[in-house]
Amino acid sequence: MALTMTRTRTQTALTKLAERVANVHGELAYLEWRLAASGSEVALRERLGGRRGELLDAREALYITLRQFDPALDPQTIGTLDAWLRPFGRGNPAMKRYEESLSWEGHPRK
Amino acid sequence: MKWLANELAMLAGEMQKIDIEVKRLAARRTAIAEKHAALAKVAALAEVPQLPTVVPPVRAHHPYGGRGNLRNFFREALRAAYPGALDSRTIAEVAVRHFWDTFESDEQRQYFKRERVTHTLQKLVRLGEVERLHPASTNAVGGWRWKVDEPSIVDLIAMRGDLVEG
Repeated sequence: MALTMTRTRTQTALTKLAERVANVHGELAYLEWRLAASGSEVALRERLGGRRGELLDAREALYITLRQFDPALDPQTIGTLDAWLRPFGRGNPAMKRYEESLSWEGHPRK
Repeated sequence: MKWLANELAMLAGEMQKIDIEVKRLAARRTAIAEKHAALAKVAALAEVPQLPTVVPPVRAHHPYGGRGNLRNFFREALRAAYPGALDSRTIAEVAVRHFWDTFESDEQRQYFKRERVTHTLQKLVRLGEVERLHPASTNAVGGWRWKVDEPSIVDLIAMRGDLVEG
């Protein structure tokens, strides 16, 4: 049971958390696909792998947070969103820009 | 010498009890700290990384895991026992086991058994959901039964009497 007061456990809060989870799911799905397709490009694989590690940590934190909101929720059933890619534009150029934005540590540059 | 032995045994027992409580609380604190770290990480993802440091700690009111949980637990226990009844002692023991983690000390557990159980059962009686099977002014162990909207055997006999007279 959440420690938060009932009045702050709103649908808005839940929606925002779920959206964040869905975006992490979406970005992770893209990275998994991209890692599988990246072949022997070592530098790119390292950057993608770094970002993947960060996202796995973020996903775990979001899952714990959602369960704190409502223990009956199963965050794994939340689907995917591609809003995470929107700041980079649309289509293939957006993906290229996204990959270029990944630093060696895996942080996307703003 | 006998007194000394008694006191030593009593103090050793107290320390043992404290050690068990400290161990349990340490495990509980670790679990809560993990959740706190996860929520702090989400705050950073939401671009408010300073949030965990600026929000003051509050003593959140969440006895028994949430509002109405204790009452609902008793409702379920008595409903499951119906048409049988449960005595106060049994209900208290079952409830203490169920809500074990919510007590911070043995004193709290004893207070719960002594006060909260009877108080909650009396509240359910006032709400008309439970019936008391013992006189209110007695020190004997009380009996409690889930109340259903059906005529009791006493009502049925009275109704039969009405029919015969009619």
